[in-house]
Amino acid sequence: MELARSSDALVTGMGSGKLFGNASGVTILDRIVCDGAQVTRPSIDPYREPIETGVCIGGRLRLSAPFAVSELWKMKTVIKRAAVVAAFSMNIVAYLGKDEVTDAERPFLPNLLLDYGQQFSEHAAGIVVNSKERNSVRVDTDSKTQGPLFLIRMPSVDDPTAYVSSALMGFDAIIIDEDYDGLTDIEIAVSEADTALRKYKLNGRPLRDRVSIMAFSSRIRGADDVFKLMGLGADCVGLSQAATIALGNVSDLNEAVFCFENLILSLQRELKLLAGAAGVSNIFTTVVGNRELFRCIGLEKRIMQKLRIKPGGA
Amino acid sequence: MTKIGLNCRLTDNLGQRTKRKNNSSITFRSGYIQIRNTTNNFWNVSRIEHIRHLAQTGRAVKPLETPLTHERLLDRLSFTSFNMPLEDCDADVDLAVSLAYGSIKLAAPIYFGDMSFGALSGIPNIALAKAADLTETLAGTGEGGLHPEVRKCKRITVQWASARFGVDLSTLSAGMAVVIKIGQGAKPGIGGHLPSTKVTDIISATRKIPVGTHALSPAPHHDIYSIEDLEQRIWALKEATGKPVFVKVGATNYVAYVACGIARMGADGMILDGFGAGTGASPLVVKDNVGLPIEVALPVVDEALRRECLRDGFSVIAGGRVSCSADAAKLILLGADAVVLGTAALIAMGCIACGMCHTGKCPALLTNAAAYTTHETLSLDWATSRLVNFVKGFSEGLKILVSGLGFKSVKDIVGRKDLLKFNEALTYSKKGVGY
Repeated sequence: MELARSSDALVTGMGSGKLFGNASGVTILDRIVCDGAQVTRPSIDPYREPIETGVCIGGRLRLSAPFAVSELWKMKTVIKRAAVVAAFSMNIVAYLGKDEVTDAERPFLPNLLLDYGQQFSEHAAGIVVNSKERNSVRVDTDSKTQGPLFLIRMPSVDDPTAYVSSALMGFDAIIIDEDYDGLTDIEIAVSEADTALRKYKLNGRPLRDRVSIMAFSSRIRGADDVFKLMGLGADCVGLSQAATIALGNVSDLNEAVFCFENLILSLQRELKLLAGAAGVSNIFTTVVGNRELFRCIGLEKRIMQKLRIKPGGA
Repeated sequence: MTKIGLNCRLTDNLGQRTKRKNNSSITFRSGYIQIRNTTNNFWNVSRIEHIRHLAQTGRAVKPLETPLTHERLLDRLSFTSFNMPLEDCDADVDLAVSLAYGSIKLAAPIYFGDMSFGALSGIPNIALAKAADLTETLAGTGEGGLHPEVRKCKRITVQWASARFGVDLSTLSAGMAVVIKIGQGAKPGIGGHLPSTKVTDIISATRKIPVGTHALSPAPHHDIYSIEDLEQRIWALKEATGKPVFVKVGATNYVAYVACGIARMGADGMILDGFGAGTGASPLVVKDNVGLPIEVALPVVDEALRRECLRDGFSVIAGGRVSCSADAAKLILLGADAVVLGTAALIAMGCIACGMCHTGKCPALLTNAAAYTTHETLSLDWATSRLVNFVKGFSEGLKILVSGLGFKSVKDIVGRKDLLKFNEALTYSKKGVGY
């Protein structure tokens, strides 16, 4: 909430109170720590030196930060409308789902993801096919260099073969959505999908090179979760509940837009702090899938193998 | 939330803290603010009460029964050969250690964490340096120049950090050693941060920066981009001051290699700072996510140094959430020569772990902006006596543990990992997310 008001990274005193114990609500992401660069790999000063946070989805959709706003249909009208405006002004994407595009929202189409078959979808940033309706949709793989992206939204599952087959069908990006009846933790699904897509070679090149991964979950709380999910292989991470909580009881549209923009800006700054500490100057090229930047503290071996992250000290 | 008023003040060296509100005055015999809860998960009430007890009595309390929670990996380690009943433990144990190839001798393996004048309000800085003098330990002074009173003390180290605040030759030569600060446990890879609200006239004079600006130190040293660069700085500082040089680094993924580089390039020791270590101000996102816990990094560092035959004489000072003598004993067994007491020392001086250090409005008068102290100040004698007591109690606990392990000197247990066992009973939780 403070992020939405201040537009700057939150600064506090004292040592971290975070424990890696068994307290309820501790997720896999909580047990992953990021690297801090020292001496031979000097860190980058995030306050003074440039750090690139921009990402590219599906080879042609360029965003200023690896954020997407998802689950707009669950939000209050004012927050939803603010999200659409803020997504456009901050150059990130918002996933509108099945909701109708109103006239007021039409100018913001270049930053909206719409469900397949919706009005104006040919002008949107991307067209989302829900995996449960996949059979009724024909993907036009010929128009790959222009026009909206084709994305497929799939639940988070343990078995990555479903993601590989979707990638082979010609989709530009796969949205792994934990809230779309997901069966497993988003961390594992993203990591397994990334690993499988990197392994699968098509014409001698990894399939991962031509398909992007987006991770959507209502459990994502902030820039730290985004950074870690990117390390596990996501190109872009969807925020939903975090935005709703951050905006709280805002009722005025202008104020909501202002808060939303601040939220995205401060998350971007926090992302830069994490990247700077790890000595990374370009998040998209260096962090995505780079598990060497992370270590696990107190994770079970089985999960560590799936995530392919080393334990702390290794 | 902490149930305290912000208008508490310490009065005199009798150790009385009076709370003045609506003309009613409540006196706490201990001189500490009463707390019921803290906002910090690690520094909970029981840990704080433990430290306060040591600081009041100067005697050890149940050194084996602390820690009280089992949240850290360190808490799940226990001593294998502790078979002596506590009352039989011979307290006549030699705690003296020598650091930096024998050039610094400490009466107990304790180093007060580097806290700058600016982060702390002046009196606590003096109390730390004086307590180090009185107990023959060592106190770090942090970045940003020396307080004139601190400069008079002998057992201090002077920090040479990335922003070079307040650095000149007389300052660098004022302490027993120079510390090159590469990183800190709370935010490895991010530079020091003194918020604008705490940059007052007096801080502006010592740091030579304008009043009311953020003192943001650069993240890296821009003249140290390699181990070779580091060597040049180490030897330049040694030549200029004639003092031993320590290098302070945060515990990160490749810290073992960094440690070997530091030792190989001629430093006399390193200060290894783990996850959760204290800070005056730090971005929350970095604090909560970057770096490794000290108990994970320390054995790796110790092992790497031994493998490279660099450990003898080279000092490893480990810190980050050292809260009781058992923590210290375990870290020494894992390979530390001495431990850092930072937040624990502040708690001994009355810190209530409210996490408000960055605002400059510390309810315990420790980290408040230096100008605020004109009308409300911490009693120097009281703070110093609490610290001295704390060191006494802490050392006594350590003595009991060392003798219980069957040794006569703390030097003999450094790196004896075989004397520790991991408590498997507390492994994996049901969800598979656990130790």
